[in-house]
Amino acid sequence: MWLSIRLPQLPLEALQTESNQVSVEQAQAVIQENRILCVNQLASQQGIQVGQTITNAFALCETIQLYQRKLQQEQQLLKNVAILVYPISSSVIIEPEGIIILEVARSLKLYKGIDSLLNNVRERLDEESINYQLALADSPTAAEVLSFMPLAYSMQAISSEGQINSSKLERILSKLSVQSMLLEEKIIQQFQSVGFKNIGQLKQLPHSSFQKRFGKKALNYLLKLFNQQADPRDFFQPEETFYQSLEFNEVIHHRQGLLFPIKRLLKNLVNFLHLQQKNAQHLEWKLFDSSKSTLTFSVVFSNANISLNNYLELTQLNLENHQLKEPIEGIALTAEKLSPLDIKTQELFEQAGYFNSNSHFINKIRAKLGSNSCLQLAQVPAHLPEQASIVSVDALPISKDIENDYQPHQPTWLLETPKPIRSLHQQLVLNGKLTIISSPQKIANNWWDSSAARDYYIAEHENGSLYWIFFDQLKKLWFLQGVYG
Amino acid sequence: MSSAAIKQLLKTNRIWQASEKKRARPALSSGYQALDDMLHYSGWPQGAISELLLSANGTGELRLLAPLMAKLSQQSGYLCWINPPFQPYAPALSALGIDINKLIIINTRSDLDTIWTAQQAMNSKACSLVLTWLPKKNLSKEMRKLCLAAENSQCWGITFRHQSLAELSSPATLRMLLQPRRVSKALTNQSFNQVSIIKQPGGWSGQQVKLNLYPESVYWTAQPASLWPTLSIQSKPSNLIDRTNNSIATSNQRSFNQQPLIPSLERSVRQGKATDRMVNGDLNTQFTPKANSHYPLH
Repeated sequence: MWLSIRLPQLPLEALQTESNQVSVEQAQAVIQENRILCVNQLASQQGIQVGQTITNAFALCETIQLYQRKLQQEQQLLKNVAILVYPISSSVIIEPEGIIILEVARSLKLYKGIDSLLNNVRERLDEESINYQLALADSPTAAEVLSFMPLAYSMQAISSEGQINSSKLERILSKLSVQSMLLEEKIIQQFQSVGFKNIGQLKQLPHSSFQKRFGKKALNYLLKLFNQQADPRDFFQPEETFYQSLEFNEVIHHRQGLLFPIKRLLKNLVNFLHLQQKNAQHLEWKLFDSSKSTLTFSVVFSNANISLNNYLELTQLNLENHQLKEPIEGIALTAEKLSPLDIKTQELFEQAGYFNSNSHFINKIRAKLGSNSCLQLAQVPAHLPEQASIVSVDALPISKDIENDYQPHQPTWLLETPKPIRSLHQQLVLNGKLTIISSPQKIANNWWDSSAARDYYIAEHENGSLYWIFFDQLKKLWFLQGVYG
Repeated sequence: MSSAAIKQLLKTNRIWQASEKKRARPALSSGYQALDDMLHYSGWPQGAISELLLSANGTGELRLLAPLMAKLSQQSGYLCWINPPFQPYAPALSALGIDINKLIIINTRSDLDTIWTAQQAMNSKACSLVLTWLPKKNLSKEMRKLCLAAENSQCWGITFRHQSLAELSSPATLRMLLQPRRVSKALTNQSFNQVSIIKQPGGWSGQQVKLNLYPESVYWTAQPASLWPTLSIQSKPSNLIDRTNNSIATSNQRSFNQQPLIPSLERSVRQGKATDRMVNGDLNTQFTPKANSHYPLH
């Protein structure tokens, strides 16, 4: 059983990048090769029809807005719709003319009947704010043809048990006019010139004479339509990485205007990630401006869940750091290096603390202050104190059970590089006199790295602070290593 | 003011009345019995900002907070250190019982960023403790923002400020002055840090308490200066000055790139005219732990 989803307004909807409302308030149409290809409701009320010339359209409605067709964006929208319905069935066919066909027979049991399956499809599609028409048939070709009729028409062929009644389906297909067949215009005209009005009349002809008169292609089509010939198609395979772009109809001058296209791309990304069960930790945005230069910025995430709001918030924060010099003409989003979604298992009776472990705030701070502003601390086994403690931007492996050379009485503050201390007239001087108050602790023989021989002392400053200082036996100098905080 | 308005005010838990009995306010023990006894709510207040006033960074402030940090690091939530003056030393913190995997260290570039970051950390409800090192400025408006954020998220907020700000008013719930360590000759050379409570919730303030923040110091044995390993270099004073000067220059370049070596020192050292006072004075201006640090160590 094949379910077809036709997007009658595809060329127009693919262009809606700036805002949702515009389409309703103004007559709009998409043109291709100077002919009208697709019109919105307001334009069709003014009498503008598909196939008219631009001059005719302007004569009928002066205020109509015409747009060039953007095929690439149409294909992108189709792909997004395919991703939306992919969870229902893995056999999805994309027809470039704006029809998506799904094999649903194997999903019927899961969805407990055709009615709830159709409702599920509707729910998913309604999220996208697109117009669509559904149809059911027993072959992809028949489903394609029936999608030009209301759903109720093809539902006549569905029995009360939710199965396709092939004789009924044959009857409703036969009633359709020959014009509804998706064949070349020339062949349709041939049918009409001989006097055939509906498909049923064509079907009654013997196959051999049909082929002789109208060609092999037309016969194959007819056989596929009535499911008498195999109908192999290419199935849609979701891609491994995400790349989508939008080209604006009108340039955008301010950041606020970018919000809608950004949201739209992110929504597509979220659907894509849900489908792949993957997690994006690095998004790359590209803004194309009218002087043909590109502004690129990336957004980095540290937490592992898919959330549209998180993505949107961090993208906005990152965007605020950039100055828009020229009006923006287009935008693109890339998400590569996807990592598998880690599914956390939680204990059923886990003692929940008051504070959550959501690291989203770190992302936010990084987005504003730069990626190296937030650091984490870790302990590594090393002899020299300045090597035993490291700070790093990345989440570090949990340092546990590290056998360190930790001696008691080490300070909590460490200087990243030891600072020299003057020793003059038998006095250690660092903004004041220092007095050594402990016996030495020796750290020596770091021979495999850079040799070191140090005598560590605790010294008291004249103002009461405690310093951790050492005498470098090799350099014969005093250094400040840390401060007791 | 109508009585309804007064009732409304009292409901918000922001006004303390001497007549009223102790209202339960969540607090976590400081880990120092003597300090807990002085505090009316026996510990660091939750959902509030506590202000620690210091004469310099490194006077025992981390030791004072270590029991609180150790306890909170065992629970859910991160411990955020915003703009610390030095790098924390992981082995020492682990030894104090603090789970260092819970620490997030955030370095900011401006005061505005510091306040914003602290607000973000608190409002995320993912941080149980937020430590903020603030500059030596009167930031009462900004402190007010932090107080609201801490109250909203019910986290423990600690701000470190210079002791010269003690006289100024502050919206912080608890304010205390931590004085540097002093050795008491009377008590068998034990050392104490004096803590003076300037303001605290739930009652009178003005208490003073002496805390032994470094109990291990009794095992430290001082050595006379003659035993310090300095004599070997004392024999070559001119050599020492040159070398020290070089190493200061390199370490300066490493730790604070923008800060040029003060030329006067360089010149005078080259001419062999460096005096004790001069070296001391010039280092004073340079020994600021970070280029943007708030106040010098001394």
